[in-house]
Amino acid sequence: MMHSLIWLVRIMIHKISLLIYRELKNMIQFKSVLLVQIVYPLSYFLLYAIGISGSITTISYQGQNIPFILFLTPGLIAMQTFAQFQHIYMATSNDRRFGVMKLLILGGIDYPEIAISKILLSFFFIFFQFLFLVFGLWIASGFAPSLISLIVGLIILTIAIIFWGMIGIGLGVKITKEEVRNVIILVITLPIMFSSSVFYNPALAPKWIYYLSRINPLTYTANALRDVFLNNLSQCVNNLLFLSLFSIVALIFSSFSFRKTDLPRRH
Amino acid sequence: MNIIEICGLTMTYKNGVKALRGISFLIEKPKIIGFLGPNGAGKTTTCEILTTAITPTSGTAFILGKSILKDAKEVRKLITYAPQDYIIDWPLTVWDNLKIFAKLYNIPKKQINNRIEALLDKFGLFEKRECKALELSGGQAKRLQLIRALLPQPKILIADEPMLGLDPAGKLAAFEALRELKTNGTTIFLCTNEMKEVEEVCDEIIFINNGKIIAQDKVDKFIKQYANYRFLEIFYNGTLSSENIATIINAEIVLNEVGLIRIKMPLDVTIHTIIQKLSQQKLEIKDIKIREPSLDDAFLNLVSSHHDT
Repeated sequence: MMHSLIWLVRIMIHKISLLIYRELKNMIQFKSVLLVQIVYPLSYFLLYAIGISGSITTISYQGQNIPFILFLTPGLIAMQTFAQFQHIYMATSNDRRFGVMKLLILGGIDYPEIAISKILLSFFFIFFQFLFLVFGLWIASGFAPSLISLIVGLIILTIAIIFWGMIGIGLGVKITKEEVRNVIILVITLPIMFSSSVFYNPALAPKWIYYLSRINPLTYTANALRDVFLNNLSQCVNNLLFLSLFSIVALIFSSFSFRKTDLPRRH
Repeated sequence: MNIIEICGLTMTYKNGVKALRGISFLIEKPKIIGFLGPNGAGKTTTCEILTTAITPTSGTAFILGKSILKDAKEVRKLITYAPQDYIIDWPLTVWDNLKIFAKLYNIPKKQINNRIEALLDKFGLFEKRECKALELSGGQAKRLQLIRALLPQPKILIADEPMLGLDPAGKLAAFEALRELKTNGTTIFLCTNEMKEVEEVCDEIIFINNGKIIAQDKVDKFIKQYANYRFLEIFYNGTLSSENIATIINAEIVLNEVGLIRIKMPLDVTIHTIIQKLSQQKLEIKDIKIREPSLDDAFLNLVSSHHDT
């Protein structure tokens, strides 16, 4: 029993590492995708966080006034998880459209391996983006989160990646037409980012924006990270619970969506 | 144990198209099977069902005793598939495309490089190994697909139009590789419309038309059964009309030009008899050319007879 379990895990690890290798190779060929992973957070931090914090020094959050850069940086980190959604959506829909996903499944790859490999690869990028932005925050404001905060932060980001990754896979296997896909990404990007608490505190915005922000997972990711940095543990747990709930729903959506395609059946 | 056993497969797509109407056949020993039929006959659908890529509406199939419905995971380990469409990781190099699938097929690490190199060499793609797949020509991409399917030396290879777009050198390499596979005990299910390749490599033919299996036989028997005539080209000097000639020798005219007639001659009629009959009409025969029936002729006959019915 134990032996067969170990054997199964080894096979799964083999397949996952193979898929990650494949995606990395694809990314290396499309250097622009790799570049975006570095330039995107860097430019947001330098041009936005540092730039705006020159004119907006503090912002009210959870009843206390905190430096704007300390408010915005966790938001920018959270935003990177949403950026992973776009990569996963595009990669999945391309694999689906060009038939590679079908061939991989016939070769023995299954849905969990596809999902895990995409999550792990996204985590790899998010990990470095996270460290990079936290480092930037330290340089710009002198604020340095504790090791525990960093670890909890990574847990929050993992759950957020699961959410966005699953939505990306779920949509990617269903909607493969390039023009439709691009429209979807364009249409949802701005509302998702600006109806969240990434750039400002929705509690201070009109009520309808506030309500929109409460159904936006990006809000919970950004707030959970802020709460970790500010040591608001009870608030952090609340946000984390909501985020986990979103991720579970996304997981179900993705699995259901995968099953409802004409891809080879899972067994 | 049977290699492939198909029992009453039907397939109706969501748009109502009936691709398969209850097909059944059996392949008992390792061999190269030519799966023939006109466009839209149901060839690709059958291939996709056998590879477990799609599920039939009803009926089932067994690959080496494993059900495509209940043991799909096992079946996938027994089969490799060279699809009709280009399914390639276009941004990756030729080498990476193959390496990923070699690993997926669990080829031992030490053998991967040698195996890929040998196949690339055989199919004339070795020089292109570091090129991105999107830089390949159509024929080269087709070769890459075939190499990928040949990597693991599978029990069964299902190849859908594998030679479409290949140049003569590519075809030659493919023929050689297929024969080699067969001698290693692999059954090859070759779905194609290229009669020449079927005549060249296949042991047996299964003919499908309009979602139904029409015939299953050895290549030579198939030709004999469905093209039981030979073509005769007679170059002559004389006054008789070609219609008269056809009446005299009791054969069907295929081509009628001044001084030349091409006729379809039943196999039981000897050329000697024809020459004799024509000589009796004082017709001067300048030359006679004979063409034996080909698979193309059998194919066309079978398709046209089924259109008629």
